[in-house]
Amino acid sequence: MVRVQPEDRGPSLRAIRWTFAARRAWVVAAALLIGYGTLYLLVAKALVIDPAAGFERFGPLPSVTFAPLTARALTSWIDPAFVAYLSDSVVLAPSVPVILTVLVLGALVGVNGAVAVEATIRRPAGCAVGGDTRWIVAVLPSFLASFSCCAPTVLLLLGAGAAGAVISVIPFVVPAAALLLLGSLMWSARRLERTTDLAV
Amino acid sequence: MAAAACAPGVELPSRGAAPVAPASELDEISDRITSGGPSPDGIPPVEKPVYTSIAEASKQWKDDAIVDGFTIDGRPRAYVRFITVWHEIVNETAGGKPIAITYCPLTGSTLVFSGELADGRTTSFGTSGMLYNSNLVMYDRVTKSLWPQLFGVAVRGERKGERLREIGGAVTTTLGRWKAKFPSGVVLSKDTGQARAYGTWPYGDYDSGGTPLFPVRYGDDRFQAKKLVVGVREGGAALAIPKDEFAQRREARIEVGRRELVAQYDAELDAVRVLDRKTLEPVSAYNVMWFAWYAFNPKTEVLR
Repeated sequence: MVRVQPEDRGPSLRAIRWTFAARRAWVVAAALLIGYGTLYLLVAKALVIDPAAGFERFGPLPSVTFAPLTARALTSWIDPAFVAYLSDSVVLAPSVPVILTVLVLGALVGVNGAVAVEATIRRPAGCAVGGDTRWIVAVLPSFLASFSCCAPTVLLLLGAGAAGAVISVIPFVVPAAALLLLGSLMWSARRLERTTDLAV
Repeated sequence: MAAAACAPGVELPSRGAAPVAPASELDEISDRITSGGPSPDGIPPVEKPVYTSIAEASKQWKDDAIVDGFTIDGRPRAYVRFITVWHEIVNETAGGKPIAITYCPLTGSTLVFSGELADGRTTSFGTSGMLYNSNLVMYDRVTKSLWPQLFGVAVRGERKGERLREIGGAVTTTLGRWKAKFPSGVVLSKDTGQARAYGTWPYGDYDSGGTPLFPVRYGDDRFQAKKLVVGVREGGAALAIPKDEFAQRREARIEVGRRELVAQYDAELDAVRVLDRKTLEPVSAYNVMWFAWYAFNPKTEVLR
């Protein structure tokens, strides 16, 4: 069944409600959040896995040290909110902005992915319109945000000539990535609403 | 032997009173300072260093952990780079006066500076978050003047043109070697008052090869960019001693900027020391990546 709603021009939550009526969507979104978050933390070097590290030398594990709560600690990309030595070879040390970025962008990635999966699987029979995967493009800039942590990975890849350019855009990368993902989600939701019966 | 010649337009800082370089050169350097990403003190110095016994430190760090060793007030102290890489500056006192142990991960250089300014004021140092020739630019906490670590001269601010006093005697070695030579020494504790993922290295395999991360003013391909040399700078002249090659030679009498020196390979520490030939006092000589040494000293000679 196809229903056209030309009068509805605002962002619709109905497509999201329709998506998450299925338990599968929650699983997809959670998996994407965890996967994206882990990858982001690794790229940002907020999560380090080093089999040769030998963190057990520091004392009984796991151990957690919290940073003093200051205004700077809340806003600095570099200062970890806590350092958790999880095992002999794994340490997690994210800053507050990194934690927020992982949660916000990870949630947006998860919802985008869940909408795309549900639209593909639950599309009406005979209807060629399915899930749109262009949202994945919006994920890419969100990874650039990990370089806000002064992790020199991208600089190593791009070389000295690009270093200045990369650093100059870092403050804008997270908001840009969030806007891209939000825009993608709204576009997908509207498209879904116009082509699919969203009755839950 | 190192000659005293300098590159055209580049007058190296010399010992003695300021000014040590033409204002135009200082302005040129100042203009070339770039952001490295972090804000001032975004890489926070260690302000109140705490030390632990070398025996205790050996439980936490492996023998092959790189340290910068230095004797302060008659006591050998080691600074594990797994800690200093997160702070770049340790503000200390020696004989009741401030000194700064500074380490730049991007150029592999550790220099120790006196915190006494020429006008008698004393200061600690912070990280500006900026770089010149891919090298740490420090600022002093009293005047906020900017001091590139490998230049040692203020290029911007009230102290522009003034040279910091470098303190010789620091060597780069491993904890195991330092412990064997100085079993009663102490080691900087990871109890710095700040939370950092000590034991990890945020720069990956940067040290092992490839090109610098940030632009440098002068380049030279005689050696691989990250090759370690021991840099000596005296009286406007500069000499690079390729560390690995010198280990075979063991000792050399050298003259840098008309100062008679002797370079000695310390097999116990696998380090090169440079001493004044007359007084046998150590002069400032430090490991540094070749690209950085050349970028700051384009007319350097190389000890063969």
